[in-house]
Amino acid sequence: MTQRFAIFLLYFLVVFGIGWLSLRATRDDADYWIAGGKLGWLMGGATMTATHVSAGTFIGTIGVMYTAGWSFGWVVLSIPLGYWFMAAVLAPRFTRVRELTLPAFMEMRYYDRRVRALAAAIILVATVVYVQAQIMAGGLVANVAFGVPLTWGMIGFTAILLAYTVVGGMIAVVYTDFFQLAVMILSVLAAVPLALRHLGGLDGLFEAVRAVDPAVFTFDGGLAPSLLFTMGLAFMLGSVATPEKLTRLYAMRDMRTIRRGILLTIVLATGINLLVFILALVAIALFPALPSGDLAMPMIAYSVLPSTIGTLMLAAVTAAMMSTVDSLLIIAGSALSHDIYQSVLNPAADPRRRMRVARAGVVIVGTIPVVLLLTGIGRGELVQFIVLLFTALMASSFFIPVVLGVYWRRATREGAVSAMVGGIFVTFLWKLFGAATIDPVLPGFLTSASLMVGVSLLTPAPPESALRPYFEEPATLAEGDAGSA
Amino acid sequence: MSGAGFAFWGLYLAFALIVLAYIIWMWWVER
Repeated sequence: MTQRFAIFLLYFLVVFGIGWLSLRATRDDADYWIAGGKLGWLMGGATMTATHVSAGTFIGTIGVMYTAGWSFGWVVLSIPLGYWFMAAVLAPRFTRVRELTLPAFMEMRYYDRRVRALAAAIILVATVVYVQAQIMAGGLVANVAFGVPLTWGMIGFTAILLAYTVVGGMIAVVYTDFFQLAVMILSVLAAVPLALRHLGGLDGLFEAVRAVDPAVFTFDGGLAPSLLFTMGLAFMLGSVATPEKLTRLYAMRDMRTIRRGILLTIVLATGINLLVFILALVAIALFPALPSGDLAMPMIAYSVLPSTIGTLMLAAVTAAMMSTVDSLLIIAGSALSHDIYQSVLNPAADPRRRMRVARAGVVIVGTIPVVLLLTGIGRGELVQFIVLLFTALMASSFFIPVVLGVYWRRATREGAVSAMVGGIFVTFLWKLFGAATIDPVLPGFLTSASLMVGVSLLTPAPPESALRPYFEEPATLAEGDAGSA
Repeated sequence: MSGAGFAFWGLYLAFALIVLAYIIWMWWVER
């Protein structure tokens, strides 16, 4: 227990230290929300990866594979394809105007402050749901590692998280993400060989898995093929369309940097997923009768790995959770402070007040999910399915307005609003009443696309001033080679 | 190779091919 405590204490001290140092580097809004827009490919790619890899990966992905079998593995190949689309198609035009937030882009392209307020409101609500899932996973880790009650685990994790995010903003998030990613990679690289050795190597693993369930390596008996395919679509659209990913494009220096950063993300984010899959197989072989797939990872860390590596693994889960939630807090905080307060309520606020409001926004959006969880709202679902629901909501509301916004001149503000609202509405309805064999992202996405096209064609064309920044080749390539790809 | 081995390594091979294709694309865009 002492050793476990020491490892976690060291980890938290490093994270706090980075948060404290970032306070000095944060001078204005741009530093606080997009790290000044000066990130190189290493930091940019690392923060994109750390944001992508969440408790959904370490608890949820293992949990789903534990339940569904190897066929789920093919779903994650949609992640590199999504990021590739982002680097090749979306980023060159999306970054022609460097905004601080996604709602700010929506106002610029859709020529109406109300579109920005709507986008900010959607981000706020969806983020609360997502952050809840991650905090619940954090509480689970605290429970397994130190035996603290789930409730106190959740409160403790959120408090630590808020401490460095509020102080250091995006700069703190980027540098802690780098450190947290290193913890994740180190732990997975240490845990996988040790877990395999426990079962006598890969051949031993295959044999043990087959003895428990011969269908693990087939497409039979797991998730329905239509669900696998549409989950893949959700992953792919979600890699591209979630606001925390899109603002990272603003945070990186230029297109060349973005392409390299995304290569790093593809290799590491997918690579980590593919490695933790092996741990899911180990759990199938060793603990075939767990009540929930979400327990597979903690069981391996606790009962299979040597205590140091097991603790490192739990620290990695914590790192994965924190590095995702801190980014979401920044996104939700910016939606509240930058997009709603500064843009709609008080545009004349001076810089000092704006920084205070920014920090207050992050505190508020960090506190709401815990309060909801403590009152019992949002508990109980498998972590990965909440992650997928968030991804589906983001994908069905933002993908179409963002992508068509920079590629289709005819896309209008009315089209964008109906695409966002309709996409979310249908996603929710499908989640509640639709067929469980199809991920809600597909109906949501199709609705969003049809509404965007239909409503845009029925409403007056956008003014030239809204289109010029995204459709005309920039006269001078001030931001590296932006726009050449 | 057994059916399990085939399914297992197939996934890693597919991933490696995607990464390779991305690198070739990046080189092609920036050449």
